[in-house]
Amino acid sequence: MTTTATPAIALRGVSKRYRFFALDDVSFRLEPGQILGFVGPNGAGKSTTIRILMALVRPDAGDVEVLGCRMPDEQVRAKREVGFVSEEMRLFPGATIGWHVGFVRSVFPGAWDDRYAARLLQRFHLHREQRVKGLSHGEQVKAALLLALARRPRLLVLDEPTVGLDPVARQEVIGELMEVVRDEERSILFSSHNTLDVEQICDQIAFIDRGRIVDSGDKEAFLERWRRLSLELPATIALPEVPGVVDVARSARTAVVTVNAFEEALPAAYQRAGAVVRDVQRMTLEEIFVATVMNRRKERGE
Amino acid sequence: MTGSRGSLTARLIARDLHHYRWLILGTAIAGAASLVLTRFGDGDGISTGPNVGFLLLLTTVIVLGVALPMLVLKEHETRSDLFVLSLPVSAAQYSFAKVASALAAFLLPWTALTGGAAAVTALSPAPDGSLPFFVATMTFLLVNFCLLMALTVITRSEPAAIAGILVTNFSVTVFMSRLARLPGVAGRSKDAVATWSPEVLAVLAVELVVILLSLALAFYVPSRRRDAL
Repeated sequence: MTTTATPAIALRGVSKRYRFFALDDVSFRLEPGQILGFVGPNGAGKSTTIRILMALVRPDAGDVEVLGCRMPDEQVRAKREVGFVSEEMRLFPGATIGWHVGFVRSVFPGAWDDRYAARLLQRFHLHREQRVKGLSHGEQVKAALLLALARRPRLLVLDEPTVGLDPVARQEVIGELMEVVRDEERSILFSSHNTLDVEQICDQIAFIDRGRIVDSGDKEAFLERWRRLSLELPATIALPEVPGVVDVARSARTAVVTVNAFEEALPAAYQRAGAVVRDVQRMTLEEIFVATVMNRRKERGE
Repeated sequence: MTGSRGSLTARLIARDLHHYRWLILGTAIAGAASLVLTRFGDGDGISTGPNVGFLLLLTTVIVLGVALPMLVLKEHETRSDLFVLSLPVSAAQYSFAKVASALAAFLLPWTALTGGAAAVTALSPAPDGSLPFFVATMTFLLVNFCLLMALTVITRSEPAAIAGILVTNFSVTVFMSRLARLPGVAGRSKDAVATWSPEVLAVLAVELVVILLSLALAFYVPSRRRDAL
């Protein structure tokens, strides 16, 4: 991974204030070829961040660059290389899928891939003659994804594309994205509150909560450093102070310790203190996400 | 604006005009039929044909003037605008395209009907005395369309648009009753020659100013908006 190439996305100190919500000093980078899972609860600021990225909303402060273009000033140049699909995006209801394909192809005459578009139509079980107003929500999302993918963009920005999809449609979308991520030059920002989707396709993770990035980094590193330890110990024994402990749930004779900086020496430290380590569990991304968010809220006294 | 940017804006305008094609055509046909109706039944002493025809023409143009801003608003409310804004176009270019296409869609039948009716009246042996009233009234409908368009694209609010529709529609009756009393209009409908009195010209001048101001606001305010959604 190189950090010297022009990043696909670079946000520095981006803030945006609304009456009941504020995006606060958001910064992150997405390097070429990376797939970033942008994870947060509903209302965390994912869509606002993405709208700022796509120049749909102007930030109050901070700098935004997409594929080396300053946003929003150079948005038209940037958008030539960006495919954007949002859960709330709708195509023109009165027009057919075929009309949309023709329209987008005319906007991207050099980049549009007819064969890929035909393959996606088949894969998503869509037909050119179908009118958008007759499509289900899932079909609309798949049609929008087709229109974004078939123009072969360097950067894909996907804002909760799997929300509201049935399990089969969701897997179709995820499956196609898995194909896309094989292209090592293409970058993807994938926003979701569904960590299962993110875990499947992303190699980088950024957690956002209440308008702030609460943690970010390599997905594998996340999964490696988080553990949940089940301990058995008499009530009289105090647990030793160990760096990286984010939560301790203790009852009379047991304790469950959650750590975000796990090391092989950690169980031994508890054993030396008189505890019996019954289990050391890896955590799922969802568990890590929830633990991170809850811990940050506790730290801030929220 | 580069050529490629310009071409996408032009393509968006063309797309909208294609979308509005049945509305434009329907207005033109209904308007033409209304004008034909004005030529019939003037011998009953109460001008049933001309009155009904003129009323139908006004209704047709009013419906067009309401439908176009509402279609623009609907595109925003259904989030189809998000799809367009995912393409290489800025929010300012997008809003320009929306206002320009709606304006073109209104002006096409409006110009044909107003110009056609005025030309036929002027060239036929029928009295021309009602022409100032007709032109000023048709221009008032253009004023209303421009005001409603500006209100809709600036506020992007359905309640505001509905309030605007109510006010502009009500204003037509008030305008026509006031206009009918102006020198050059009052009692002149059967005159052989149209009288363009200073009062009528002043009304037309005010209408033109309101049209230009409304359009300036409709083009300018959305282009300066910080948030496109």
